[in-house]
Amino acid sequence: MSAPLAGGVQPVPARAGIGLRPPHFNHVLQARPPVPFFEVHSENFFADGGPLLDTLLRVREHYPVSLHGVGLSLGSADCIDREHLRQLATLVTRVQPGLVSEHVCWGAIGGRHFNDLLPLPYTEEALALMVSRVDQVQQALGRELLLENVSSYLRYTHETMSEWEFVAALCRRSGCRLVLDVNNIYVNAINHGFDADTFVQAIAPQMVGEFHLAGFTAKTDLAVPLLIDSHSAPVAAPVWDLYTRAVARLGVHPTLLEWDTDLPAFAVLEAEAKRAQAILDASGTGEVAA
Amino acid sequence: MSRGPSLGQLQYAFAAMMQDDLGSLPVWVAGNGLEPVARLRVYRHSIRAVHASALETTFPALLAWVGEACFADLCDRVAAQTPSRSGNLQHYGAGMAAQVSASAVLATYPWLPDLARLEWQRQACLLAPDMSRGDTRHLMRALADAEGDVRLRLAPHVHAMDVAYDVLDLWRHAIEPGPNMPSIRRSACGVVLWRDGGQVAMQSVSVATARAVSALIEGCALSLALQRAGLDDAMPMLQLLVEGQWLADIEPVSDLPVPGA
Repeated sequence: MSAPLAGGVQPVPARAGIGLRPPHFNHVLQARPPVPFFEVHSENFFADGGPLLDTLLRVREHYPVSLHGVGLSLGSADCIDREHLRQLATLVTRVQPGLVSEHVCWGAIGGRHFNDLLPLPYTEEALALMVSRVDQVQQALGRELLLENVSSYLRYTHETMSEWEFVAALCRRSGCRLVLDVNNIYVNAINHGFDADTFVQAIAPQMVGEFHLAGFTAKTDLAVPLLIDSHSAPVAAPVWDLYTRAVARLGVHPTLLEWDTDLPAFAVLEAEAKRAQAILDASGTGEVAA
Repeated sequence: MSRGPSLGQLQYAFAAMMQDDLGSLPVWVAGNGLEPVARLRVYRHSIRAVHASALETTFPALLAWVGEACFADLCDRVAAQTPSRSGNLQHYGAGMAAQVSASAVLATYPWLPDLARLEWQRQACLLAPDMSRGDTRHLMRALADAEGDVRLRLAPHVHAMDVAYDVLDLWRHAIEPGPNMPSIRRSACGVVLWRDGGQVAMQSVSVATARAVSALIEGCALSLALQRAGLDDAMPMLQLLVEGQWLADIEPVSDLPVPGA
């Protein structure tokens, strides 16, 4: 069984990092590219040993790491999966990550898991549930949990607030901060017909713990524009523009370049991260996030 | 805005939608220029793709042998019959071998269920906990000195199975195709799987040896494991366990607590 890393938590710097996926493990361990931090999906390392966890711990010896969960289903009307939470807490103890994050979404009901980031209705009921779940997780982990705004392809007819009102209220009531996914804001703005800057304006600088950037694809066979948060393409030009405005308003924070499908060569990810870094550099000096 | 469902009602309706029961869900979805059903279809497609991708990762050889279209059909059957029960997709796919067995299209390839079982065992081996190896000399001495029956505790990553077809070569050919197609022969054999340097290793053994190792993994005492497997001579299996450094501990059966005492 792996012991916790010596030296404690290594903060994630307010610079542009890269989402690390298995095809790039060997390159990163052998070449040690100059990347400020790596982010991984927590669930891939839940095993109580084995080669994947061993790889992550070796990466962690050389880089700050952020753990980004996709399976906790915080917004499920069911109870939280205690075994999943226990495994996350064990991983956090082992890895001593600079940041730990999850999503403003649900993904399971009645014991059935959809393993997707499904949209919550923006209602008082869902907000109260999320506030209590964030508190439960933060208590279990003994540290802060960041929450990411998700992309969505539908809205519900009975919602009583906008997405930005919902996430801002969640931050205020729970005390958590956001992984502000700029691509998701843009995707939702197109999909649901709102001004992306309205979302950014509703968020206070102290609510942000990290930015995410990724690429989308557009569905072209529908009557209205619909963007899919596919993580399979470079960051789009309007998302870079929105990110620049978000950094100017919300400050310099760790920024992650995510790419999950049709993963390109590592150098492509580095180039995208450098572009994000240039925007951070132009906005101010880097600060440590955690 | 309209009076809507509770969060639980909405989420259960979503679950029903995934099983082709749209119910009231479209009424609660804002169309905004699209039919609500078209918006829901995006999620159906996305969830299907996520689950299929997980199965492609776990069953690469099966995918190579049956092709993408057939594999996609198998993925849909697995999702319908044995849906995901965890937020961690690494545990999704236990039902694949059963779906391969049940497939009429694949009935002429009777070795495919064994291949699927092999890949599921590989996944279990990959995800098994770490455990420090026992000192081999100490363990051998304990084994030699044992006066009665013993229980052999194996490293958690060691797995064993018996198969009706020798599928090891078929698996290897799918992952790294060579110039010669391996022969497909019905020949019952055993397979032992373990982790070696971060990789899953596999070795053919006799059916009896595989069954004895399986019984040890289940916690049977050595004598019962040998009896179950029909093995008269324990030495070849013990040699395998020692050489593979798979033995973690040896406990005299008499020292173990008696269940219910």
